[in-house]
Amino acid sequence: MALLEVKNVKKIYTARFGAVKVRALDNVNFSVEEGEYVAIMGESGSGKTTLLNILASLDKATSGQVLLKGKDLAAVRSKELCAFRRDHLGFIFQDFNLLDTLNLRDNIFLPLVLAGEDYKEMEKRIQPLAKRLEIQDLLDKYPYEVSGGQKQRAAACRALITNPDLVLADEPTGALDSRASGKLLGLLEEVNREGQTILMVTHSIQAASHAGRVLFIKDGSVFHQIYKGERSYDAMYRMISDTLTVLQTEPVRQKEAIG
Amino acid sequence: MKKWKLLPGLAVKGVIKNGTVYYPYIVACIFSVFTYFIFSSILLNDIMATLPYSTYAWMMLMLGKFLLVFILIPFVYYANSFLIKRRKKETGLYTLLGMERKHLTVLLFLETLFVYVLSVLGGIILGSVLAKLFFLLLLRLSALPVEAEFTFTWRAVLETVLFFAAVSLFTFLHGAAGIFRTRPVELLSGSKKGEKEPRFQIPGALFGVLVTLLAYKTVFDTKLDSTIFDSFFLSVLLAVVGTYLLFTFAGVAVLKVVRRRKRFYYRPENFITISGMYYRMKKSAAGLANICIFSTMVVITLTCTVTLYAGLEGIRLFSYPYEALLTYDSSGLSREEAEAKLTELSGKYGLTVSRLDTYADQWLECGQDGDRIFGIQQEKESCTLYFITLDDYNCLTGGNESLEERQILLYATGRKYGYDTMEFFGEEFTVKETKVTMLPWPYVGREYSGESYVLAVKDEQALEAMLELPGTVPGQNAVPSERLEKSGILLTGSEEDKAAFMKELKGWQQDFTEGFLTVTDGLEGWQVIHSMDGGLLFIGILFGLVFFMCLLLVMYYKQLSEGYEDQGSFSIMQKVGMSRQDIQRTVRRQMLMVFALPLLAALIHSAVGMCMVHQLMGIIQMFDTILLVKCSAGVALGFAGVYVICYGLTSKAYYRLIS
Repeated sequence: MALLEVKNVKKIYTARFGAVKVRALDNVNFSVEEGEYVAIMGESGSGKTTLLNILASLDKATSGQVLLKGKDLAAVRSKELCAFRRDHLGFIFQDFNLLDTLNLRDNIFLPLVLAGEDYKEMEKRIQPLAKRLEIQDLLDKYPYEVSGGQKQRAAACRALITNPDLVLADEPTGALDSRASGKLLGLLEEVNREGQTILMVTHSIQAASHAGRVLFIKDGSVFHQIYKGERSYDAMYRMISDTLTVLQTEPVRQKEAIG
Repeated sequence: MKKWKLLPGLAVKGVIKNGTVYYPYIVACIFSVFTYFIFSSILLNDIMATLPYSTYAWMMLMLGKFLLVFILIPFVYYANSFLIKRRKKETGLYTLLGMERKHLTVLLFLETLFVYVLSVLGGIILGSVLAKLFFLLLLRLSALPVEAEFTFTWRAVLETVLFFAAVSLFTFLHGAAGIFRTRPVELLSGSKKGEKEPRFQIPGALFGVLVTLLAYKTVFDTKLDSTIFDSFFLSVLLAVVGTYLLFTFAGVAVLKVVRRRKRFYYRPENFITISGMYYRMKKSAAGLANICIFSTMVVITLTCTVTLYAGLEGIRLFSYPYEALLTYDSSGLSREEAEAKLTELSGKYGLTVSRLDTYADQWLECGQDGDRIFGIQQEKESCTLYFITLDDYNCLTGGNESLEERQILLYATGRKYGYDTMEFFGEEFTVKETKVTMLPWPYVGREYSGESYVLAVKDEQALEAMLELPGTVPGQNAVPSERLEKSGILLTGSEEDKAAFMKELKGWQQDFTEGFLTVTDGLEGWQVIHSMDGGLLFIGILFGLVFFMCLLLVMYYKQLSEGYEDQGSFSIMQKVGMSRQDIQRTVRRQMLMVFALPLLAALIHSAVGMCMVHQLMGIIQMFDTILLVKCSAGVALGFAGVYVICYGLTSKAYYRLIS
């Protein structure tokens, strides 16, 4: 059984007074196996973020199913959603989303504290992880005292410390320079090699080339996918680049507005 | 060239777009102008110079206006810096869009001008409408003739316009300096800059505790003497500094210590609350200290005002127990003749005699050491003894006491005497101590320029014998005063009749040549006291309002800035796995704790401050301690209620921002 299954997911946004409906996602189907590293690519407005929000249970699909370890997200009651997210998912965001009120250590501990974890256990978990993400000397600093790359690595540490089933990364390199990006991507790849399942949304070819599989979304549905397999990083980079060219030069399907 | 034309519109729009912060500021400014204008109008009104007994009210108002200036300037400055901080990003954006610093300065100038014109216009219009009302209030509080016509004075307008022009210019220069000091990049990220961890928290906190305790000690050590104002200002200064230090360091220090206890800190129910509080305390120290100080000011001012109002009768009676008091020598005028004259005159003017007391007293200043009374000595405490006969005592108190040989009745107006005997210049007397109501010697309940004891002696012979004793001991510095008869009268009737009565009584006294006779005019004395205390009351009411308005604005701004801060962290916490309800619950708890702190501190400050007020009230001869306690408890309770309501109202602004 796949870790994550996305079946016929549709999302239609309705303006508040109901006149205009916009189809953001149209019949999305794919699945992610345990231990996979999947990148989802697409242009701005292609529905990437909508999809990620649905996977993160921050938003609900209009129709279709999202199964995580066989459990339907729509069936989780809204009261338990927070706990569900905390226990099964880890998040990395483009703008880090670290709390300015907490130092890095406390930011990383936050999900564990909320889950009621013992302090000893927290300390035990943070040490190797912080070392691997190279932030072990920065733990007592506040977010505004460190660089963007360091912030993002702290955010990654926060996402990983709960040992989640799935890490969802939303444009993790979007706010980073190329050096910091490279470092973060390398670390994510390493973490994946050790068995962590990662699903990343991005429009950076550099970021996507690190993934094991790349899904392309266009106008709300999966357009194409490529596996890295035994390809080198450079070959993968070229392939993604070529696919994107095709994707962009394809005659534009009119976005439907159902009224 | 076109850019310059654009600026005025941009300035007005800037104010309107930022209405949530600007409207309260403008309202506060209007109120400041209004208060200043009222003071100014009343002070500059010609009527004040012509009204009888208005000098004291005028003096009090003058003092009030002086203090007002010192409150308004820092207040406007604080509110204005908040505005500038909030709008840094906007200013930064303008720079990016190609505005130069000179344009920004002109823009700021125009905005300041816009706010200035609005508030001065609003304040003066409101003031002109209400000045008459406030003038009547002052007249009424000061018991001055209410028919006086109040006229609008242009001089007051001019004074107000100029004063606030100066204040606005000051805030403008401060803002302009800010523009020139910062780089556009800083302006852009302006309102979201990280705070440095404050250093020296624990020593700072200890120092704050020390300074606050020093302020309290100054208050407790204050005596009613010539240094009281020094101690007053010293303790206020120390308390203000101490409060700032405490709010800056102590709260953060305590939370920091708590944070070190990891097992306690890293628990779901404590973690968010403590870290949130830590951050809030760090950011809001100055704001919270301001709230605390303004709250204390409101409580103390209102307590003074209410106590003064409720205790006015007592204050009047303390200095002038009778409306008319004749003091005379029994060789020229007998008791019967004096009483007859007073009764006759009151009958003539249709006044009813509600009380007529006649007594004779002699006083003696001595030194006191426990139950020993002797001549005045430098290093010993001194006291004043008033001697009356038992008959006069019974007459004054309406009692029916009797005395043995060598026994005296003693009534202490201050602290209890507390001994069964008294060694009076070598002779021993047994003492029967009482506590009674006697108009000429009102009960003070504490030391007031030395202790005062009223001694009632069995009869006239015994009294004479007793007062010969100081003379029998050689080298003693104690000479009893002459024995004078006194007849005091209290009347019921109209004020005009009383005035006519007094006029004729004084005329009679001037024509009196057979001996010593003076008339103490209680009516006039009451007027003077009333005029002064009315002025104080008026200031108290207006100042209470001003302080309250400052408090409200600071609180509102605090809530707004907390709201802006929390907007971001709210969504993050949700993403990391906290439910909306949980977040709201902890945030509500944090906000409550943060805003409860200044109230708590203010109440403690006020409670201590009451000891100072108690002493200060002695200056205007208000000695009713129980009344003061009652009033301060009432005011504190009422204020706490109003504070909670204000919190509730302003927190709406906060919840509007975060939801």
